[in-house]
Amino acid sequence: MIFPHLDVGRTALRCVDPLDSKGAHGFLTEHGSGGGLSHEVLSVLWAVDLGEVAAQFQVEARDTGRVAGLSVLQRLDLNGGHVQAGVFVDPADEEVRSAASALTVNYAFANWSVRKVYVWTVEEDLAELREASEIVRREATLREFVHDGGLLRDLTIFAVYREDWARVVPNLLRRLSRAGAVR
Amino acid sequence: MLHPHLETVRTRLRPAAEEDVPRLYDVLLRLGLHSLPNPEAFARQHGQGVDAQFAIELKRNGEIIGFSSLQHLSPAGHIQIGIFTDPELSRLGAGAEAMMLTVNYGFAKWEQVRKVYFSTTEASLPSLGRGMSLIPREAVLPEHLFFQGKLWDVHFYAITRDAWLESGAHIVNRLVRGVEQHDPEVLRRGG
Repeated sequence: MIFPHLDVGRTALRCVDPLDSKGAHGFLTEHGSGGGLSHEVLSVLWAVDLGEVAAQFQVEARDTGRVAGLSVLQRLDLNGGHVQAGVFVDPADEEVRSAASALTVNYAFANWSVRKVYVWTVEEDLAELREASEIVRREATLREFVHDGGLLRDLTIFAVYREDWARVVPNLLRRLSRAGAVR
Repeated sequence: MLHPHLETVRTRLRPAAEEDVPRLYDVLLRLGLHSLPNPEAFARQHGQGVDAQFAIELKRNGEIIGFSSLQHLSPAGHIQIGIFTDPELSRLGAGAEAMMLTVNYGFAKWEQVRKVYFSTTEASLPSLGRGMSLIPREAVLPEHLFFQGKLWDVHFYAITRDAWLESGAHIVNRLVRGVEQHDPEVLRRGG
């Protein structure tokens, strides 16, 4: 069994109405949680149509109520058995970002009959799921796919599979629930 | 300089209109390559992100054998091609010609396009001719699509502008002049 937890440690997800990429970028900028992510990049990682958003969350720090960012589950394909997760929290806010990523992936496996959860990124690795790096698979890379301020960046699609998640999630959530345990 | 040709001696790309949507739905249904929504939902969704869409006609009798499209034009200089042809009507390489014309149109119409993406599964590869085997495959997404009762890997192929200028564009020019025989291997051969 996988329970759809909405908080762990000092981090909580709060379900909100979906924003489009422009609204999301404005939200992240307003709360200082974009970590320098450009709208050009976000618009590729974000659903094109609000109808593609299956769930969207505001990420909050539980102790202070501070808004730390957004996370989203989108492009749910029950036929293909996958959904795409995106977590947008300032990388400097590492503990909250790791916890929000784990909660978002966990929510997907708990709520839908999907085999895998994708995460798209223009980064070299998936730092937000570093706590579960042993089960993150690099599935595909599209070369020079994203325009970002005059640069062309690769788009990499990572995936986490259900059987792997079910195996690691109890220990992962236990580690994340202990404040200060996150690297 | 590339010209956005829309016809060869035997095959024509005609800009598709709203009245073509039921025929497109029928082609996709008969191909069995998608788990389709109902016709009304399909009609509502099908144009999203599409930059150009064509009905593929045989010039000798005006018969529509399928559809091709270019979609998701990106500021990063790429665009995606889609092509679906009725297997009973697309014999004799007309589908391969339509694909050549559509790729050529993508590069000719949008100067900023550096590469044209084409995604497919092993269910479609045989009908596209052996020429596909020489187009560089950029990525594979394992078990991503479900149809025909099973999960399929999705293969992403990328045709660069340089490669197209070197070979494909010359073949299209010859097809337009009628000096190149239709051949499902046209993509494989050089200019």
